[in-house]
Amino acid sequence: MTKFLPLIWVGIWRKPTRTVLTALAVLAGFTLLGTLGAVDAGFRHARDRSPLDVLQVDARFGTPLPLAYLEQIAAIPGVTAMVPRAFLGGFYQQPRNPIFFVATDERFFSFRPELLVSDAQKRRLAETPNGVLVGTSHANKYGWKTGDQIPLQSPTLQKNGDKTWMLEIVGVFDTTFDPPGTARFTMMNYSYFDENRSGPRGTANGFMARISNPDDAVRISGEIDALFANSGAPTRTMSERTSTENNLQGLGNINVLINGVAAAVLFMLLFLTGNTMSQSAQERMSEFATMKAMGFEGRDITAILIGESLMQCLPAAIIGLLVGVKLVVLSPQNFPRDINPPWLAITVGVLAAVIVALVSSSLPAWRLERRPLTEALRD
Amino acid sequence: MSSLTQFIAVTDMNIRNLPQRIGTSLVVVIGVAGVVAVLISVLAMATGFSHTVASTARNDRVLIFRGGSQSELSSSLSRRAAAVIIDSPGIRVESTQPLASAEAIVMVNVPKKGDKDGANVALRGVNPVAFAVRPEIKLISGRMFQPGLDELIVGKAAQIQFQGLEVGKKIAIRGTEWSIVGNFTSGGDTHESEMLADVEAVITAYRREGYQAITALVDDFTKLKDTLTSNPELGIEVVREPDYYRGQSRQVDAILFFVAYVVGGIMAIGAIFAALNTMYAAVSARTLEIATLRAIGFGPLPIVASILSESLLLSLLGGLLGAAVAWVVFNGNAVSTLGSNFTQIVFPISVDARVLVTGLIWAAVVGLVGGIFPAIRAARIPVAAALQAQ
Repeated sequence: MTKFLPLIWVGIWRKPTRTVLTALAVLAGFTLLGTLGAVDAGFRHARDRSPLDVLQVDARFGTPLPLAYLEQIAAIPGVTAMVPRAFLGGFYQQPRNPIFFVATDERFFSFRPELLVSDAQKRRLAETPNGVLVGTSHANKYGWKTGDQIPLQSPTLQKNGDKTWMLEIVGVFDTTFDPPGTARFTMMNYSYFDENRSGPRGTANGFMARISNPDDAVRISGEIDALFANSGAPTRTMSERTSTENNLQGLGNINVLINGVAAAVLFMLLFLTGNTMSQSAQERMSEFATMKAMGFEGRDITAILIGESLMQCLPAAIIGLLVGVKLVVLSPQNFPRDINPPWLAITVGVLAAVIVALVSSSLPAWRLERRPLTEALRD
Repeated sequence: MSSLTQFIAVTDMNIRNLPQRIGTSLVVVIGVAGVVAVLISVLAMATGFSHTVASTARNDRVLIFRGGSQSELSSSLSRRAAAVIIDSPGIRVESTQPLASAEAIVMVNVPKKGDKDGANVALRGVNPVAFAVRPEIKLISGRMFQPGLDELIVGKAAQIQFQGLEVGKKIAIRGTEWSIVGNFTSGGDTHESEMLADVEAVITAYRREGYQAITALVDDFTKLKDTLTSNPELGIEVVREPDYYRGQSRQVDAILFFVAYVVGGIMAIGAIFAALNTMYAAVSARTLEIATLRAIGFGPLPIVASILSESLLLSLLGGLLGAAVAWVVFNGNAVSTLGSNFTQIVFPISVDARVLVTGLIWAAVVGLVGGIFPAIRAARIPVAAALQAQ
């Protein structure tokens, strides 16, 4: 096709206004596809990264779970590791600065390999009873540094009735899931939390359990829940994957939205570019007939039309996709983000652009092909 | 001929030869239809949602919960604290009875209609005084629950979205069968997505030790707030209902804003390019015609106006088509979303006049912007050259 490049180039600039406007419409359409693709990638990523072999044991009715459950659950065949989780919520300085600590212990790190916590930080956390590790997002927002003492105002009172928890920052960390500087996770020592709180000691809000075979997730979850069904604190157990899926669903039916809008946009673009190509081919009917009379093959003409269509759509589509991917920052803050570029969305987008270009040039090409030469020459 | 009759003549001619340019014209119609359909669907959801949330809120009604809790569900108030709060000055009193209801809110997992998974419906344990605090709650069928019994009444919206919540049915809550004895409305607010029962029955069933939050009518908000927040031992927060719900609906607002203005906006920009393209094509196809009209004495203004009105006509047709699609697909549907208490709030999608008008205004803007530049080009066609070229 390269030998036709000059012809294609001249062809698309025959009516510059039309070409530029079509390309801009394609650009707008693919910007939207890029944004939606990036939103979709975020949801996909959030789902895929939540493990199938980790179960969340939560309090079915909000009643705190006794720590004794740890051993009972660990005794179930197939469960290989356990860790408790409790939550200390509150705010820093003002109610509009909410912050939420997960109280747990060093076993937690094996469940959350995405936390980029150094061995030195882990050691400091273990050595400092009121130590906390905070994500870079909080540290940047409030200007916290390692060694700072911070007051946390919490509705969970300490045993002396004080609602201010003084915590010492022993480390600031990023995660592999968040862009650097935006990690929002925070954790503290369960032992310190449990010793000092006024509420029911020796309990946790939930546990995490690793199982040896992800296929057993449903069965083991059922066994765990059955074990405590008639106790004072029944549990609800599900894999992290299921839990994430439920949470994402709660944000709204994003898939339907993305697919619906993407289909509508592609349909409109197809209509638009198909129309442009038809017009442009129609206007040049006699030119093409002359070229055929000069010895160009029918498929050469088709190749030229396809080339024009591709040249009109593809660069605009690629620019649009790249811009669109950046615009994902305009999507709601609580949507999950994937920090990697959404290659899947970009690949699908480029393919879609090629298909749009091919389809929109095929109809005029087919018409030209069928037109008897003598008739076309007379146009 | 006056400009007006010229304008009518040209526009009439344009519209009559529209069918010859059906393909290009449809690009505008379909493009605008897409934009307007998305915009109207989302605005209809936003309207339904804010109506639901706003009609819950009354300026003289307050929520009182533990300081630092972000929602009723994460709050807790001991019986002693609740008793102190209810007797505080500022709360409205009606024949010695303070209009303040101490409540316990728990989640009940109920299967959703047409969906195997369940979702959380809030079960709100209330005091009898709650019905004076929220006079908008009205029974529409069945009867009121009796204090102390495992009986509950279900909101209209919850009943529509979830399975097995009809009057007369039983529902298993913490191993006990609760009877559904009634069905209520509350003017389309968020409480319609909830179930109500006696607070003591709920506290007993869930082995709670106290309440979660208090809802009260106030005579003097400032006085109440000063009294309660000056008592640090209580550590509580007082919020007016409108402020509370505004804070809670931020998440849904953000999603709707994104879809309406980011998605809809980018689509509208694309549609403007499509309209420009179509109208430039229309002008260039009629260069000779327009030059002839100018030659026989038609002014530039009627030409501009006629191109603009054609563009407007096409985009408004598209707008109506998009509105019709949104109407057919969505109007009257209900959507549920996670509400403030991690429970489902059911809200109607209402395609009302204001939403329709907004959609059509967007369509008109696309039509105007897409028509103005081609119209100016049409008016500037050099008459002699255009006539000669043919």
